[in-house]
Amino acid sequence: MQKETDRLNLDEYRDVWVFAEQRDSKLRGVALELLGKGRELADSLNVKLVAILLGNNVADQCQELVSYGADKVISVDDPRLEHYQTDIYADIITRQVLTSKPEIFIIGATFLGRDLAPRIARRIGTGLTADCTGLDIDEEARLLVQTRPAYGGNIIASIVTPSVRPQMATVRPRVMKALDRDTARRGEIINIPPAIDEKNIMVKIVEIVKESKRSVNLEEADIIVSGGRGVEAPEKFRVIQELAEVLEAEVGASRDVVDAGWIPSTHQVGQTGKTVRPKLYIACGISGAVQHMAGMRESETIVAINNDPDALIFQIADYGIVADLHQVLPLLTKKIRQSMEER
Amino acid sequence: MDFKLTPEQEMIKKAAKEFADREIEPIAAQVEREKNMPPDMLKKFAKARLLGMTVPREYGGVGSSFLNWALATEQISYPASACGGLMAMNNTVPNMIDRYGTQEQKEKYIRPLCQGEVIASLAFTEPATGADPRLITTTAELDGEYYRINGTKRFITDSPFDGPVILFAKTNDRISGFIVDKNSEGYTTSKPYELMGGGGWVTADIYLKEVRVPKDNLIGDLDNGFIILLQWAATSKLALCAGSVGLAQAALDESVRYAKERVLRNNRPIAATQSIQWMLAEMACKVEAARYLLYWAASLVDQGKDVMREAAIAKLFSSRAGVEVADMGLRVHGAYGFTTEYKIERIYRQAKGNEVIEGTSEVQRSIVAGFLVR
Amino acid sequence: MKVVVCIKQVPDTGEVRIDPETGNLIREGVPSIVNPDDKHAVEEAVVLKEKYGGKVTVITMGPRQADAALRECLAMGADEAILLSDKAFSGADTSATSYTLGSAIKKLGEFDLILCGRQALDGNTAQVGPQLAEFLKVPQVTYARKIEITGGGLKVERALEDGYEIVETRLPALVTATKDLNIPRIPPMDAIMDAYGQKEIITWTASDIDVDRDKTGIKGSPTRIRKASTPVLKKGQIEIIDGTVEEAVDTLVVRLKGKQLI
Repeated sequence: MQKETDRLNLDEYRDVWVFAEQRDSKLRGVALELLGKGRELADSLNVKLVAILLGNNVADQCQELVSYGADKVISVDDPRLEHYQTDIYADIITRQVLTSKPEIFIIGATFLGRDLAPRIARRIGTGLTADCTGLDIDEEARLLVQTRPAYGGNIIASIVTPSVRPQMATVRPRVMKALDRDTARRGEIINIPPAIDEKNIMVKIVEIVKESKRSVNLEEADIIVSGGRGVEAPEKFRVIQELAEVLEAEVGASRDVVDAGWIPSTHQVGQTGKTVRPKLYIACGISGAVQHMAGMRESETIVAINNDPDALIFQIADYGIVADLHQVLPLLTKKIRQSMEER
Repeated sequence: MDFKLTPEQEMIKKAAKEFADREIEPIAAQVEREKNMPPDMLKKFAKARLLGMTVPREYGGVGSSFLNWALATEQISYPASACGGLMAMNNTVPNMIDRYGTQEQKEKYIRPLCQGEVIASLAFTEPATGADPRLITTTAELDGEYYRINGTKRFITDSPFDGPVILFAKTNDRISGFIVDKNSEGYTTSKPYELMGGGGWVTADIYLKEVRVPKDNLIGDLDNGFIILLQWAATSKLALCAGSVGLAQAALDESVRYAKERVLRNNRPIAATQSIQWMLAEMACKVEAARYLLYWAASLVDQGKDVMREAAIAKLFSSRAGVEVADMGLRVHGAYGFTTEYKIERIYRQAKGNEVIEGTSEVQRSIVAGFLVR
Repeated sequence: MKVVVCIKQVPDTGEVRIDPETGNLIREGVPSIVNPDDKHAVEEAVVLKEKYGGKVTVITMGPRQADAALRECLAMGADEAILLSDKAFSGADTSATSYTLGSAIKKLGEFDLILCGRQALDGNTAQVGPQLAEFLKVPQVTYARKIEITGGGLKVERALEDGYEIVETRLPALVTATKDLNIPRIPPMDAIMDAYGQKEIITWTASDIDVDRDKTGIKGSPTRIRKASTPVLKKGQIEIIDGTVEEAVDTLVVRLKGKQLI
């Protein structure tokens, strides 16, 4: 597909780019996390880390990006960019990428990122790897090695984009770690005029609705108490909820339980649900199907409670109790409540 | 002899299983407890085209093979709910109307059954007998353009609900079959029986007092109704076989799951013990044997063969297999099996029915022996 | 309305297991299914056809066995099914896949709407839909929860992380379906018979569609898999807390307090 002469052209591509996603003029966590990783990649390659930011009234966010590791920020600030729209964002970013020729371009695998990244990749004609759990540099080949799960987490694949540029990848929130904020850092901030061609806007946003139902926010939770088929019946899910309440935790669920309709899919943790990285994950009656583990294995501390001593979940847990969760949880809830009252 | 299902048969099985999983399984325990089926259940069956499966498309049916119908019925029986039983009558009765009915009868009665608008029944059994035509006392007397029907029928499934019933009555010392509208004047039903299993299943006596049925509603030949009953019984038996196979498979699956979860003192699941393993193995053998008897009999129907002997063999074996598998399954569950927490207790109760309804196992034995010794 | 639905036959990853001894994927006996998100796309297409008239064409790029997946879609109400099968197509990443699918769709002629599932169970990239839209230069609307045909084109409710937005676009367009879009119908018995009986699957190879073989399959894939392995489970450090339930709970509380988690 690419010939020898093109290979040489790869040397024209330098720098690591990160798409700085913002919402309501505030940077999203994933943007800072990607800068953390981007910093590491840029240092390996001895190149610059550049953040590209589109939005409205985002001037103060530019310095933030520098404080979190960017050497340079390309900012496109315009009221028409306030809400993400595929065509406008793709147009502007593609043009910048084609002009500046980064070798690596990472985007957060959020709803926005998953809508935007493939459109850009296809337009440029480059490779894109989704939901990377690892990004590393093969220094000898000067390649980005993109690691991601497949087959519901049953396979880990290492992927490279050998002949085209930029090497694009998306990464889910809570997978990478942001650097510590350093307001002393200095960087270059460039403002670019938007140059929006109205003709190219194919989809019009008519209305944006925030659903204010007490939204389940598993991704930001510090503690998650999760229930699986071992809970046995929807009425019995109460024991999970009670423990979650006393711990001020979020309630999570395995796919089985969501598919059975016991709990809405917003609670689902796993490959097709949410990826979570809480400080504490308590898995109750969850066998540890690989696609569930794919969504929570990065939790700092994992406690597993399951009747089956051979349950796979025990292989990644830090603490395990082999017993009936219907006996363990009420007692655990009681003990924790008692100890909180003692404080 | 290729025992493998074709891709089409696999999809029939899969779609029927999806139907059972989506529409029946989630409500099965509640229906069992409250003895109350959701009113829209029959329409759901109709929409999935699970009714009138073996009846030609020109009359509103699906025009499918008996084997496909058996495959679907087996899956529908898996949740162990009376809901599954809804499929039987609106398949076996239109099938008989297609076989023995006049063109007018076919055009009038089959389509509403296939579309789930009404529910069919078949009434032969009386207080005196469930099998012997000579003991039938319900009479049908020709009176001008009508027959007047008087008598009592016992244990007739879905007899209180609107729809046609193929009813057998005495004519000229023999019996004849009539298509009776369950809405007719003079047709009333008793309070439904409370049964050991299949909560929600409605079976009641019919009281016929001067019920007038148009002459043209005679089905088949006059005085020759018994053959219709026998043929219906053969196909209906296959429905019960499929029911037993579905129940037995459910019992096996439940027991395997339970055995793997239930842990003993040394953290070993009971599935690791020989006594449980042997029970599960026996259960598996019986399920497979029953299943292939069902497929065998159904395939023979598709080949145009008469299956009175084969259906009797299949029903005799599979109903017993269902009971034994349910029994072993309950023992695997231990005391938990005796509670309504687990599915096995309702499987146990429902499986028993198949040994005694629509011809007891003793009747089946007589049929099979009849073919051997005559 | 002419609707094209792109589907994929995938292994039912819920059934995929790792051999505990070798650590390898056990592939035998894993049933193949129509990708769940794609079923929602097919259902929506059939609903639109029932409402507005027209034709639904289902298309997939895959091996011969993808036939069963196409038949299921026919049984759900699709009118026509196309299998893109050729060695030249195999090993494709999402970019090459979108090129191949897009080329086939171009050959089909005019269309009003393309529906795709949001993402596939095995790859989970959610990339083919947008890449296909870009290749065909049509507007894309991803994460659709509700679709409405209007005088001017299409009105879609699309999911956001914390709510939803309503967007409008002209036709032809491409929409990716989520499970919130509808409940896929169970194929009725007669439709299953017809899908196997009367309906034909059209198979196209690389020569049947106008493609540059350098852009299909593994050759046309900008990304390459360097290595695939089964994940190393974080073994060995688990503390199984023994004792009675009471004792175990007490110990656990002590441990978690020690880590300042509670």
